Amino acid sequence: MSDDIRNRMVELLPRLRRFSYALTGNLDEADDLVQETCARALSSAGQWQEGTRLDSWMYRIAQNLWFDRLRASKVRGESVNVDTAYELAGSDGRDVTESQLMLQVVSKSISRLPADQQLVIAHVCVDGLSYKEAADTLGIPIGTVMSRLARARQSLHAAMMAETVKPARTVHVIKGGRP
Amino acid sequence: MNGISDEMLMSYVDGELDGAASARVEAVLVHTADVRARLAAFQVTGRALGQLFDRPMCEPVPQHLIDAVMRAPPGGSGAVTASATILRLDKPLREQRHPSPRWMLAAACLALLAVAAGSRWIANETLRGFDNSYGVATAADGAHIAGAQLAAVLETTPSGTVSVQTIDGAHAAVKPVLTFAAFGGRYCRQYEVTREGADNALAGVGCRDVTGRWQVEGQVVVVPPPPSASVIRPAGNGSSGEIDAITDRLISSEVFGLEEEAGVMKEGWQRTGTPALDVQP
Repeated sequence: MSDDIRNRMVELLPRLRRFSYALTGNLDEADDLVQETCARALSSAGQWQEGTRLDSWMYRIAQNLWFDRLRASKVRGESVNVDTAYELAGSDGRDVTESQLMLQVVSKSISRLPADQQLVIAHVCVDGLSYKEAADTLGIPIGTVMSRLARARQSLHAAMMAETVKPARTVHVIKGGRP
Repeated sequence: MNGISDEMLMSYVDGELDGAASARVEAVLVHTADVRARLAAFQVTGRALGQLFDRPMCEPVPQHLIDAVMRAPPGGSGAVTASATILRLDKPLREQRHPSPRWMLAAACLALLAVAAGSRWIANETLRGFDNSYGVATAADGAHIAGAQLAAVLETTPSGTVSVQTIDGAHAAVKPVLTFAAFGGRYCRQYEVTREGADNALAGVGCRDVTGRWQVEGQVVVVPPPPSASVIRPAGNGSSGEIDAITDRLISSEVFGLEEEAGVMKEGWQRTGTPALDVQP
């Protein structure tokens, strides 16, 4: 294997970490997934064809590993561990910012989506792929990407609204206004 | 469905439609509150939301991951390239289609760095969308606060209605453009200002804080003056990308219709979140 491929893999690491972060909701777990992805990619580098996109190939490895993990955790009955790592790293405890709260809400909401919807969100909204690029990477038609992504984002929006609406209900009850 | 599918609305928000298709969507958006409500779900879950996960783009890759690639079973030299790339801004196509992609990623990185430093990241981002202080004062805490005239208009004037004020000795037409709810429970309004004798206009967005001040999150010069009388200006299509980007970041709901806005105004802009601050003793 040439050092050229290795260098190109290293260049992909920031994006691959971000992609995995969106899926796992937790940077430590994301790095585990990235490391496993790299190991798998290196051991099967012969399967990658020069001239095709290295990033798409690595994403496919990462998403297959992620599916395996989700299946395994379902079998064991675990829940997804969202985002304690970020909270600790991003704040000294005095000042929990709007963006951190948002990140927690969004991570939680993503973790409740079906795995195929998580993937389109991670590809398009987080990694910034076009619908066409996402379709190529996932190996599905572009129309499927669009319908899946639309459903995923509606669910995500509903979950986020539920989080932000909760306090408003409390206010009304306390004030003795609307029930 | 008003002839516009969810997929089409989403494609519009994501910049995946061509000009003609975008124009068709906009034509329906202006007239149909129902479609605007459906649009909101896609506006708040787009790339702006994905930025929340940009932290890995803003910090060094952990060495053990670089080692995992460079140190290698088949003929690994062990000569690790430790200078691996942080802050790679050459992101894929999506970024090039969006109005201010590099700005957005750079802002996200700035924001994350600011969080790490324990400071208020919103201040950093605000500076980037704030290049004109007409009608705006700076408070002791560094926040940009709408002056009395601008605040009065934001407090009481419906969207789409022009109010003529005298600010700094000159007449100015101030027009709220739209109203929305922001994460954290604040209400925010986009507005435009046309000053007498000025050949450009200003666009801004202000949010009403818990003390009743209108905090200006951004105010920028727009050239030429913004088109008049359009109550609804869909994100990404307005005269100011900065103001729309700030709005995208803040918004937690759909843009309000005029009736809904009138209701909120009548209630004195009662906040929708943070109950501890709202509860009467």
